[in-house]
Amino acid sequence: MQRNPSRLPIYLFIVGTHTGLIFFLYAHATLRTTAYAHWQPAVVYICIEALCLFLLLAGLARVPGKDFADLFIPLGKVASLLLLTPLVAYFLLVSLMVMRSFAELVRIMFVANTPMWALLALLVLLFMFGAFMGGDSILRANVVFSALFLPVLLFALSSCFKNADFHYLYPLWNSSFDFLRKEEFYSSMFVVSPFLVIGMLPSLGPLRPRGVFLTMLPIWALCLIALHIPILVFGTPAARLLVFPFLATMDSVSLLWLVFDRVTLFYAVSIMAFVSVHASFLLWSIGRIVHKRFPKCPEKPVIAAAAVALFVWGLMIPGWDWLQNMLFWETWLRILAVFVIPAAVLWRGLILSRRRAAP
Amino acid sequence: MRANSCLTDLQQAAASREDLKIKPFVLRGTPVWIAGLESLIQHARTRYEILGSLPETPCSFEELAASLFGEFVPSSELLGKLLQGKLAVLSGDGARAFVLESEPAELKRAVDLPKEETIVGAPSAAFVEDLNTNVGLLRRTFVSADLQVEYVSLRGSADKRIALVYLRSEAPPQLVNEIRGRLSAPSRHPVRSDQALISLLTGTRWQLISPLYNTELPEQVSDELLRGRVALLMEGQCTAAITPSSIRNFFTMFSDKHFPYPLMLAIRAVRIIGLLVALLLPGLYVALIAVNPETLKIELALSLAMSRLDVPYPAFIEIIIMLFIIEMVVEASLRLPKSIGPTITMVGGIILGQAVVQAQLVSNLVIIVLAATTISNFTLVGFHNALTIRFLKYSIVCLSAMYGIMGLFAGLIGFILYVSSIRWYGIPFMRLR
Repeated sequence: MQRNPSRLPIYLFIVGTHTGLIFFLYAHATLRTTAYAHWQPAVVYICIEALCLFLLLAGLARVPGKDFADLFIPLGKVASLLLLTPLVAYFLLVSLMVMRSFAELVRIMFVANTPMWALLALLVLLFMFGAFMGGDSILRANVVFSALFLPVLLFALSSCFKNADFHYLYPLWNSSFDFLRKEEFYSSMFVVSPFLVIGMLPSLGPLRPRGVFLTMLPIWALCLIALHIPILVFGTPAARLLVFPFLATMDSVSLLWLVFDRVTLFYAVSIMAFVSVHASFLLWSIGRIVHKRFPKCPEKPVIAAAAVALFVWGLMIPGWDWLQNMLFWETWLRILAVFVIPAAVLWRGLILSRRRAAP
Repeated sequence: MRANSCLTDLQQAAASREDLKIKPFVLRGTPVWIAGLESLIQHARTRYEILGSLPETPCSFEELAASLFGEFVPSSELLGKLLQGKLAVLSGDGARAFVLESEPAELKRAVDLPKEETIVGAPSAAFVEDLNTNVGLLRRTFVSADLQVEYVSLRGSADKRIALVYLRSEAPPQLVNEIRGRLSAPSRHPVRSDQALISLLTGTRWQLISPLYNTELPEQVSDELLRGRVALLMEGQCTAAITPSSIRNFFTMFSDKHFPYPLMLAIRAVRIIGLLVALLLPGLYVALIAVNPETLKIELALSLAMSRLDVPYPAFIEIIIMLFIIEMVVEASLRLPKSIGPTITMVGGIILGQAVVQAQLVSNLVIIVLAATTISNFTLVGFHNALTIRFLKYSIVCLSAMYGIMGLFAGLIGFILYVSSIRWYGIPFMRLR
């Protein structure tokens, strides 16, 4: 009866974590990098992600079944701390940002009168609950979320094309590449970061690099589509002003046959599922890494402590502007996580596989 | 050992068990004592059968035992054997005893139609309370040398037997070993119910979802056995408990496969939608009325508001009151005699359908929501499963009252995460295969 474990949950998980960001913060983050021809920064992001993903997968493929912690801990106390601390900090920051921005979105959409602490408490409890359930549970839950919410999300997105004006796509070419000189481009680089969770997957199931890359292709296509939906509806200058371009785009759609006034509802609940998957998995990864590094710390208290930190930190952020500032401050941490960690994984993978080849 | 220990022990036991009869008898020239519980045995027929199976010539006590296929037992085990419905033959001096099968009293129900799981257009013999009959039913349904039956005596409960049934080629050996090991572990409580069995198997009584899927249909059991699961048949229970249960058991039955494939898919889709409706609809009502009316089309929002114009309390209280009433109707009608059942449904129907609305205690819409919720709840397969969903919807109603639509979906996401985390014997509950 023992069958090969299916890889579908892993691929769907990669789609899910990306979806949580692509349709949520991606458009805004990319739109603010330049004035027009936004496909250029988007393609650069895609190339960066593809390169880093390649490094990461090339490293992981050489040492099957090992995650970040397993690879870095044998390096010794200092080196492992030097590599794992920024990673954990970065995971925490991404969860914080995702959670806080989602709370902001929910507040705009649904519950304007609910105090922020109550919203954050619900989200943190949900993420912590998910993290307690463990990585493989999150993967399985994500399969159900994908079946329930991906069609809903795609429906909500496709309904936006009702108002699209394809003339807004022009001008198509920006020869100055000014975005490369802008700080926003680097601070928005968190949009490429979901691929880092792949480094925690090997302990949950076998990874096939080719499968992962094939999964990324539709995700990258979705990135480009997601970026252009607000542009097609509002035009570039207007879309750039919006904090949640997606939300505004969905709000502009009115479907007569629908019971609900706005399709935004469907958008928000689907995003919530994927955001929960992403944040829960990050919290669980934090617990896992810390537990492996310090075996005396059990996973659950670490997760709970991280969740409390998220809650307190989230409360301390006064508003959206502050969140944007935070993105600027942590740019270095991000560059470290996105570039250095995959390179380190490849390096470790090469060393370990060579050591195994020459016993 | 005292010369007549078996006899004196039994006589002492009979003092407080007046249905235990011990009578002297002469069998083919040998004086013996015959003992048995007249509540469990048909004495006259048993005696007739014993005499019929003996040779005509005089026999010694040992020859009697041999020709009756008797099993010699020590005095200490004698009473236990009698309580299982066996007949004991004691030697004339009362020192030795053997037991043999007897003609049982008519205490068993005949194989009948299923009481809980009515199915359309499929074989419909259902399990009964007798363990041997149930195992026989399974053997009839699934004629294969592969079908393994092991009897496990539960420790700590007097002679309660469980049959562990599985297919050798399908069930993973480690699963069977694990279940066998857990069943033979000493139990804190006597295992008389599924609850005790669950706590024996999983070590906890606090899971909302049962590791057992109970069915009274042999056909269903044989399908589950083919999927590599193990069936537990407990003495005195008219259902087989299949373990480990899976999310499939919420939506699928083997009898669905008697329909064409597309229709089967449609039926199962209805059940999945039923689960979502039963879980989410009351919460959705509260969220839309109390917290997020602006997400509805304005015309709809207004007409909803109109229907609640005279209702004096918030939507949350309104729906909780009505949900409790419907729970009570369901609970009451489960145990009502058949002659009173229609009365309660009629009264309940009038109260819930008409009077409450006319008295403007609740809105029209609540009745619709309630009806849809209750009906959809029973589209799920298995009473236990329906009960789980019935219970969980309250937590979602509470979350919806606090956070509106967001709370509703936070509840759903939490539910899915919880269900995904369940593992029985290391096998995830959330698996489709």
